[in-house]
Amino acid sequence: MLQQVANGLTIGIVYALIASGLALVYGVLRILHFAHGGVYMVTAYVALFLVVAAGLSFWPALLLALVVAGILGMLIERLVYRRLRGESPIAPLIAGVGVYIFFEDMLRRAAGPYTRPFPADFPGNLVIGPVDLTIKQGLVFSASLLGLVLLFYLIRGTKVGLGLQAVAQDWQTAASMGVDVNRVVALSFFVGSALAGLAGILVGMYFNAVEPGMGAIPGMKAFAIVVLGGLGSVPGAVVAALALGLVETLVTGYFNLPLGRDAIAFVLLIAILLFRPQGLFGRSVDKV
Amino acid sequence: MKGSPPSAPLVTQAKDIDERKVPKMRFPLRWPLVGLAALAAVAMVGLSACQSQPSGSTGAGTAGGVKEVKIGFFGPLTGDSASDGTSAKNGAEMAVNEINAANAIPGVKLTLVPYDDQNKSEQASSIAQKLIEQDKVAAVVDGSYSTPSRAAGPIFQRAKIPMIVAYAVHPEITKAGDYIFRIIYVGQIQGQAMADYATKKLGYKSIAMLNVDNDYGTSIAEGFSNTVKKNGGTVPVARTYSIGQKDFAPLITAVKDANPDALYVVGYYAEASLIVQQARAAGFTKPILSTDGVDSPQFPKLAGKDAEGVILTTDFSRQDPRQKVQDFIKNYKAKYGGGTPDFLAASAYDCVEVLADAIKRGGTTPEQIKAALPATKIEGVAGNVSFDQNREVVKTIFLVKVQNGEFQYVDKYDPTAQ
Amino acid sequence: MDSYALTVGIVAGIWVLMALGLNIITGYAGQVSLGHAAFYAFGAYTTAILTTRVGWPWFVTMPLSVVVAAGLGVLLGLPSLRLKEDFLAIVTLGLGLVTQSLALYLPFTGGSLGIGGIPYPSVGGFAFGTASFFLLVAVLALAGVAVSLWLDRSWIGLGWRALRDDELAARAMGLDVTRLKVLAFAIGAGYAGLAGALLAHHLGFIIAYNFGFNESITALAMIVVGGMGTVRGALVGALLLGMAPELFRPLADYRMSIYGALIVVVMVFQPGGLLGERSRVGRWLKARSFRGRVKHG
Repeated sequence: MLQQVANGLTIGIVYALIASGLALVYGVLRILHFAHGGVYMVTAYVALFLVVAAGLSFWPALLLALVVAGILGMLIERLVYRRLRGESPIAPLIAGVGVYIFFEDMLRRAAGPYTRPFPADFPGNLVIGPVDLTIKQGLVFSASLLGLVLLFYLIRGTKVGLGLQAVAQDWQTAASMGVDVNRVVALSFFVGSALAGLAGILVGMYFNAVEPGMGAIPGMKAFAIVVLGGLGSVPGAVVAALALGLVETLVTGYFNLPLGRDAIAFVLLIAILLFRPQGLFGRSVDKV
Repeated sequence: MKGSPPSAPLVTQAKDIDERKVPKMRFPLRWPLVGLAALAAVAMVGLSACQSQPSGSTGAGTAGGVKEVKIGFFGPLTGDSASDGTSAKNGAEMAVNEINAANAIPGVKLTLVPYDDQNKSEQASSIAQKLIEQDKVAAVVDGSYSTPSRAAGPIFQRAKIPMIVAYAVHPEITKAGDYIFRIIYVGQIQGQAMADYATKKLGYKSIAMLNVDNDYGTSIAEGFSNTVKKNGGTVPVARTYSIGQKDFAPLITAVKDANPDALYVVGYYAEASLIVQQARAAGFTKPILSTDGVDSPQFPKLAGKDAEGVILTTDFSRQDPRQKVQDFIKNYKAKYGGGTPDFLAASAYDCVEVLADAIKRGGTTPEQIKAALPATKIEGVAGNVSFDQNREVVKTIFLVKVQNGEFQYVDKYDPTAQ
Repeated sequence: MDSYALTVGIVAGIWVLMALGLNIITGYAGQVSLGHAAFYAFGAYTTAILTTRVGWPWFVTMPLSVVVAAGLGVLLGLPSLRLKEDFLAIVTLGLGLVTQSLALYLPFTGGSLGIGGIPYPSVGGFAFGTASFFLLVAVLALAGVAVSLWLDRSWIGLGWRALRDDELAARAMGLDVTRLKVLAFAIGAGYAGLAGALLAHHLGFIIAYNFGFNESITALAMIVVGGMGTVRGALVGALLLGMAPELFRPLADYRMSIYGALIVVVMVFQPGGLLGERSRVGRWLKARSFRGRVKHG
């Protein structure tokens, strides 16, 4: 049982990485950034390329790939979403879907449709009581934790983060106070995309599998998690992500549901929203 | 405000609007109809015009004494399952080239007409129509998964064009009619084969099972668990997973907790390689069995050393000493690179061989081919091929083991002898 | 007539119905729905189950498909009352995924084996061929267009437009927002249900994989690219993208990339859609319409 909890938290914290990035972007721009899953996937390939073709070792490749991820995110915002500000919220959503489809297919053409292994050797196990963790698992957990901690520090502890919070609360007021909204938005995309990229690289490395379709389901689950946690609330997203990881693991570990594992996230979402339409940590309003 | 009382109209300010400013209803359909008609007309013309062939007898044209017989092919060439469809297409292509080069059917030249269905049934059904009407094929190789095959089958049946299924295992496909044949054993048979082998030959009593949730997975799982139970064994853990799933930790922990004699993984190589790696990393040391979905050079490549020792059922044995098989492997490697061909390529290759044999014996029209097919008895690359009265294949199933990254023959299983 | 072209026409017609339905929910009433495929699935499975297991004829089961799908639409309309756009979008997304997953796992829907043997329509002794089925689809699609246009110009359509533009203001003006929303979902879902029923009879075999996120997004892309909130937009979007796999077949390898790029380009440069209200075509049509002439003299 404890082993399953450990399993759940491991996958949960990876979900938390992706979801917190998405929550950050949503908080600032109020759009559903569908291409987030695409960034996740592309970054995994970039890291793979750096390790396999450029011969970098894992950690430098990871850091470099994160920068690429951030830049990619900023580009998407600048070229696509920025031009759609003021339109109905569906426009950036569809555009994001288009970007995602384009990424996925181009990568499939460029790198091949099959799964590639991610050569990163971290052998060994860590046994803590009844729980058996692999070193890789521990690395994934700690790297994710580090990413999240850095994120919190950024938001809560820096001046830049203050700007982020301000824009998230009320961008017009923030602008009138002298905050450069565009720069804040760009930053949130950089950071959010880097988080997604980190998740992608960790997943690719941990599961030893990088394939073009890997971003679809995590991307959609991230949406569910963000809504579950309360739209725009980063801590809410993290808690919801961990909770989902646990629920998914325990349910599939012990039961045979007439439902695919990936649907659990949405059943949970629908159930919780029926009772708490603002999500777990969203502000309670008359109508959300 | 909650809402108006039930008897009020939806908009309450209606009577205040000046009548003159309200447009009368013009004929509302004019523009959309014009647009619709124009687009539809253009599309129809465009589609009818493309690929139309000079007329001749169905599936055949004549050029200087050599008859051209067209063989259609459909399968996923782009999208998620692209590698499988491409593998099958390569196998079929190679067979066609070799048959033409050797002039195996005197006076006849085969042409393969491949289309991409992206593993979608709507596309497969459009492709079927296209192959029948525009390309006028004499027969078709089904190089796709079950869903498109199910949709395309009845169309070929209605048009009386023979279709040979390379690797789709849905039991209902051949029930579409007497023009549909299949050279891969159905799911239940494969599961039964492994169950008999595992319980009787290897002596396992309890075998945990993880199967993919599509028809391939569930039909094999059904065959397997029924047979295991019939032989007095148990399946203490039986769980499903989805294609694309990466995290198997909860399932593996559940398997470990049940302490079985072995683990049976039913699925395709992408997920199976992950299961195998994660199981070994979690300390699961018992033997692992699998299905022909992992029959691919990708499996040992992805799973590395964790693939070693996995035993699977398949219809393609690389160590088959027959010259035909060894030549197939050698030529495929030379032409397409990427390592030893998998059973998908081998199956599609055999489909073409079967058709060529039928053409040689019966003739070049679809009806003649279909009439000749039931009597097929050839030695294919992926086992011997003959058909039972339901047009399902009767062939031996091989058990192979992954050793040093290659698939080594271990044993064979004859489903009819059970 | 060329059966291949007719088949493409049938598929296009089915997509026209899907797009028109989503156009009502999202285009007219402004309720974001990313799970349109759920209604599609309900319609398809209703007719599939009733024709293959109970033996009812298609002309009874197809209307029932519409009703069942509309019923689901009503059920979905209710949460839309409490949720705003982004929440609603994700919930509808979730509903689509859950429906597909259930369809794959429940024995009732055939599970992973799907439901096969769905008969081609026939009336008395006359069995439909491809041409007659195409005619049926075309007639239903045109009827769908007519109904959509009528709704657009009716008081209901006016109410929807008010709701879409500003829900709070609409409520303040005395509109029964509840009824409008539920109606939008019900009717839009009914369209999709009909499309699903037609698909079931066209393919003869349905399985959960026919009703996934891709289908929901395709419908959305169709109305958005064509012009959201307009019938001509839904039509053109549906015909263009519905026939794309066949029209782009020569460019087979690049199909999806082109598709994605097209969506992005249209969205960035013409967010109202190619034939939407703000596009050149839209403005030209408006100027030439009766309303336009009244306005500009």
